[in-house]
Amino acid sequence: MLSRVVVVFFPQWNLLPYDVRSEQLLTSAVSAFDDITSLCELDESGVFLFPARGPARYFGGENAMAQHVYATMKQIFPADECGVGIGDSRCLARVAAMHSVTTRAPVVTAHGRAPALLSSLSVSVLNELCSIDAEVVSLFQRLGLHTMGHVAALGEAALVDRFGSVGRDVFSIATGGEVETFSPTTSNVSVSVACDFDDATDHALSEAMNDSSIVVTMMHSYIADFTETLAQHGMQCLRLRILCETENTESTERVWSDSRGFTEFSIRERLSWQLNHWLKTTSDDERPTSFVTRIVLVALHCRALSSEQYSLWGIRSENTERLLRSLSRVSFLHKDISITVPRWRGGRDVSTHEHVAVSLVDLHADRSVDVMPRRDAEWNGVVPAPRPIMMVNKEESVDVFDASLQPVFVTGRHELSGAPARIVHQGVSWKILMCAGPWPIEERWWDPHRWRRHARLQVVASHNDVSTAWLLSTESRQWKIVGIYH
Amino acid sequence: MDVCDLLARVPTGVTTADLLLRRLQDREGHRVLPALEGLFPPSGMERALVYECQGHAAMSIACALIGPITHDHGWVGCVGARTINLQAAADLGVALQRIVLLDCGSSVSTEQYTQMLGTLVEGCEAVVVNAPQCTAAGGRSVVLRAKRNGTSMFLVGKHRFSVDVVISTHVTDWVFTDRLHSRLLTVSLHDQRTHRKASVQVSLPDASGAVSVIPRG
Repeated sequence: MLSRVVVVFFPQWNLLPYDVRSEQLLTSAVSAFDDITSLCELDESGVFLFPARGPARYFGGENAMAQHVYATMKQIFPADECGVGIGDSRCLARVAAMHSVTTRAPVVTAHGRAPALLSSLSVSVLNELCSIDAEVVSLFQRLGLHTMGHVAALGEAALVDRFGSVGRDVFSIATGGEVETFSPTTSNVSVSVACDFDDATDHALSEAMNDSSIVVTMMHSYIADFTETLAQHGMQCLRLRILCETENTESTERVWSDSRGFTEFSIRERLSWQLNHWLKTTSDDERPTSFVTRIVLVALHCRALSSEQYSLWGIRSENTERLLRSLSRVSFLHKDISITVPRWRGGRDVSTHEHVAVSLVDLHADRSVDVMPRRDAEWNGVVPAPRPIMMVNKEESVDVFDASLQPVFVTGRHELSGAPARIVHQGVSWKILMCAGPWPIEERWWDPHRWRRHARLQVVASHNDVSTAWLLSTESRQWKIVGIYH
Repeated sequence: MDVCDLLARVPTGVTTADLLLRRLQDREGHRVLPALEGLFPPSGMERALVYECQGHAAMSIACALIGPITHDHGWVGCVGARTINLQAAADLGVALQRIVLLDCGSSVSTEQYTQMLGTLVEGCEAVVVNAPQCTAAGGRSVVLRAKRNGTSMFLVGKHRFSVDVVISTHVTDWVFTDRLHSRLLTVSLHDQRTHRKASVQVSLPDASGAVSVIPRG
């Protein structure tokens, strides 16, 4: 019998601040899903999945259930975009959910139509939605296999012969089959960790065992054991079941998935979300009446670690993974912490780079072309090297005078009206020791509205035996400090 | 440059014991630019230390020191350095594809800032911090995490950290032609632990924006 899958997709998930993601989405959305299904799976990219068959019968059909889920999501998050899709496989349901975002209505695909619907989709879907390695997909494209239909037409035997187990997965996905099932008990490996706090804690600590952060802290060594055991098997966990029980046999059970593979940190994070939701935010009827006594982690789906192994010279490196983990923790600390990387922009301004949010950049990729200044593309009028090392955040106004204390300006012939002798900056008069320039720029002279004319000047000035070098800019006879040679 | 210096630079294709030893020692510390080698022992710039950069060229010297780390595929976090001119940093030898810039808004408390810095030092090979906002106790906890992780810290501006090495810069002259040509600097190092002192004279920046040794005479 074909499985039917419901996918609820939040396209802006990764753009949401951490607290919004963990609190609002997980408490509100998961509570809503818990009313519909007993088993909801959460993906790292804002995708919620659950089996359709049982709930569909309760709601009187898949269409009615999809409408109910969509309406509930819209009620909880009126401002956020979301998509609801139902299909024969996870892949098809995800595509349907993505389509639902644009149609602003749930999309339900017909039974048994998966191979036909999938056949016209690009093979890039395999990488984007189904965690198939990008190199495999790239090879398909280079071989002229541009659609899922082309790949399926090769046949399972040919794909397995060339790509091994990945080939079997690709064939299964391309023909509307499943690689993973929803069953929380079946697993391709037998790795699990059970932590019984009954033995580990005395009565004095039992109250504290209702604090999620304390429970997560106490689980540190068990989580480390869990990932280490998997690593010893040469495996990496992609789907994880977390079961928490109290002394009074109340329990919460959830399946989490992460296509990049779970790390110690990400397991702790998921456990923390699950416990927060259970211990703090459910209604009085559902809140556990006793403290947490047992936590079980079960690896439901694993893959060979070699597929994510760090290469010696190449694209993925261990220190980049370490940095990404660290940055991900930093981004959770406060929404007002900006994390950016530079990108070359060019232009005549002193600042030739822009700041790009780190979440929008693949740090594993070689970005040297994106960031390094292109010497052959230097613009006319650009200030020559050496350039000031510090830019002034908020440009500071200064007055520039010649020896007879007349204001200095740049004439229409791009010449200084007099030799600069003094600068007055924040009420302090600096003696100009040396200066060079001006470097004039006339921008968009053909457009009377956007026309701009300004000039830059390098100066070294001293005050009370302290000398400093500035880069000044003048526009409409107003001088400003734009850079400091610090 | 005398004859010995010239001969030492001729590539021979022969790996001498001295060169081999040097390469092995290089593994111990961070590589440094040739113009600044006189400041550090042959093994390079020691890892997991707190370096304080002082003087009028504090940010320039910090950039010059992190440059080789970025070229050796290390990641460098720059905190509170949003106003740094990235092209000037690239001229000083920083591989911009290996730096990450972090800035905290006004609503970030001192505790959160300290937590951020402590987390960052666990992910980078080196961290440059401009005017850190940590308390003395917070600074100690950050330094402890940095040392445990083998991360070097470069502090610019006022701070309340306990530092291992102070690197001071003193401007001796500015050279102007038709433009600003170079800045002549005396860079001094004082190792607070061993009281070792060293200094070098460099052009920083030189005519191309990089660091170079001032030619004799």
